[in-house]
Amino acid sequence: MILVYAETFEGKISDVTFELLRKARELGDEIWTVVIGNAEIEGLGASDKVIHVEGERFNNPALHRYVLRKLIEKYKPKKILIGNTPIGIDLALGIMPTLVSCVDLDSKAKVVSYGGKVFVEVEFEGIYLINRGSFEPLKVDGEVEVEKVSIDVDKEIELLDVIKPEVDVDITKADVVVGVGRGAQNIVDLAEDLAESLGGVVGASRPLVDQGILPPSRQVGRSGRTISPKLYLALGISGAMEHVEGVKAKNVIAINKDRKAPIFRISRYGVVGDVEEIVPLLLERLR
Amino acid sequence: MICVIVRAVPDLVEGLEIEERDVRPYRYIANELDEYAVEHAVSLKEKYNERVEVIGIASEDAYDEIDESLYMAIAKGVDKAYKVKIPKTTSYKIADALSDFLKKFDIILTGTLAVDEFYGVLGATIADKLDIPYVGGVRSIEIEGDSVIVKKELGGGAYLVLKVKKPALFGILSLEKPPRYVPISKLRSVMRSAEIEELKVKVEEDVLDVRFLEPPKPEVEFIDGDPEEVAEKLAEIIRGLIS
Ligand SMILES: Cc1cc2nc3c(=O)[nH]c(=O)nc-3n(C[C@H](O)[C@H](O)[C@H](O)COP(=O)(O)OP(=O)(O)OC[C@H]3O[C@@H](n4cnc5c(N)ncnc54)[C@H](O)[C@@H]3O)c2cc1C
Repeated sequence: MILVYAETFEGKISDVTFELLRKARELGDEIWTVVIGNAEIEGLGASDKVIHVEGERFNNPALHRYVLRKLIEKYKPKKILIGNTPIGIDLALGIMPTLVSCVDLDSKAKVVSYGGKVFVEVEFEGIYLINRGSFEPLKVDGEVEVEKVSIDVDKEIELLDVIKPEVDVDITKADVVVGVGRGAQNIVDLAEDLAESLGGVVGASRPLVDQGILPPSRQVGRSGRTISPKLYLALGISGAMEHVEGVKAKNVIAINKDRKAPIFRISRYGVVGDVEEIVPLLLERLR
Repeated sequence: MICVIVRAVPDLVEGLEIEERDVRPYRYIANELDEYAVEHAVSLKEKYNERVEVIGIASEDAYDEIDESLYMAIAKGVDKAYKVKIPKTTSYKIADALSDFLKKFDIILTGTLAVDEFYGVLGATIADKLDIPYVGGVRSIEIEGDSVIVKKELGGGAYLVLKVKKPALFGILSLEKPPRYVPISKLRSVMRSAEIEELKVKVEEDVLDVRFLEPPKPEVEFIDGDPEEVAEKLAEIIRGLIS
């Protein structure tokens, strides 16, 4: 039996769940989808059965790992599929081997690691934390058997509050995004000018947001936003999986001094060079 | 008492040699998120007067390189540093070996993930081994009596605010303010005076059945030439793509 973790937040099943269901179906085994917390059970028709662990207390995603642990002990699934998201990553467990950043699983599991610079094939069975976007979603409406299960959790983790983001600029709607990474941290001003001249906005990789150079609303990637512009111009961004997961651009152009930077794998055009040298020249021509 | 776990990881900027059964980095550095964990621990010390210890984990070829980040941690305010040498192994074996040492701490911090970590998540594994709560993706920590209040990132600037009973382990993902600056002179003086204790625990070997592969060649069209030429060609391409 394959257990699929339906990620829920504020009563809604997250899209990544349907991607996992696509792969689970392909694997051919019986599928049980587990929903933890109060949520509307919708679109899970690809599963053979839904295990629902209800309760106000379990609307707190931080308790899900403890519910999951009990479910694993109870049902002994061979494979557990979880989305590698800010919520999913906490479901890595110590009681069962966990594979992080998985992009496919058949006879062997495939993983992208070392910031996207190494692909790994591994003989594995256990918990798979699967990167978003690895499979096409499979959302099936219709009846599915729901079994309600009650679980006791002794860990004291209380959800006090949910803080919603302040959004200054919505980068998800822009036609052009100029992305700045650690390699472009000295030329953020130029990137702003470049974005302006192209009628676009500036987005960023995580380190620039962490350093307070740009606000969280600008972050592209797993723990940021997903953008789908006509053009994404990636400046000094290495292209770690966590970043490129949020890039659904029609065209990507990357400038990076490392020819082996993973960002080039999602790029249509690339320049191997120094952004501090090229961007000013480019700006002159586009103004 | 607080403990921070710091791992030596491959420096991705310096490149890697990929062999079928092994990945050989040219250089190691401390895992960035673990260094963030040190920052959080030092802030907790400053605010609540907590004792902070740090433990460095490194393989044979990174065993000397981890020293610098441990000395740096001391320079920032950590009270004591340990280090432990590991063979080719996994988080599960590291957790087995360290749980005895770690059980005396009531707050344990480490990075949520490391760049070379794909089999098991160290923080989560240790927490489960000790049977204490684990929360990853943490951005801020405050102590409130016998609990800890943390902000956990949900992405895109959204957070969960959680109250967690101690003892607990947290995976750190970010900082609320830039890391402390340590002058080289201070680091040098710490390196002369402070001592790093080698922790005598045996971490078992754990070898996975893995194959490491070079990623596929990108299908990108590289634009070559001197910077002026490149800028000219790029500008033309960009105009074409957005019109
Ligand atoms: C749980 C989790 C969630 C995460 N979520 C996200 C996320 O949402 N978004 C995100 O972006 N990251 C995220 N990360 C971080 C991610 O793993 C990478 O660390 C990050 O994307 C790296 O950012 P970067 O490419 O800017 O920096 P680096 O990896 O340091 O790369 C800098 C690049 O710039 C190049 N460079 C340097 N100088 C120059 C120059 N002068 N000219 C041209 N090129 C230059 C270098 O060759 C290098 O490729 C997450 C990590 C974790 C663990």
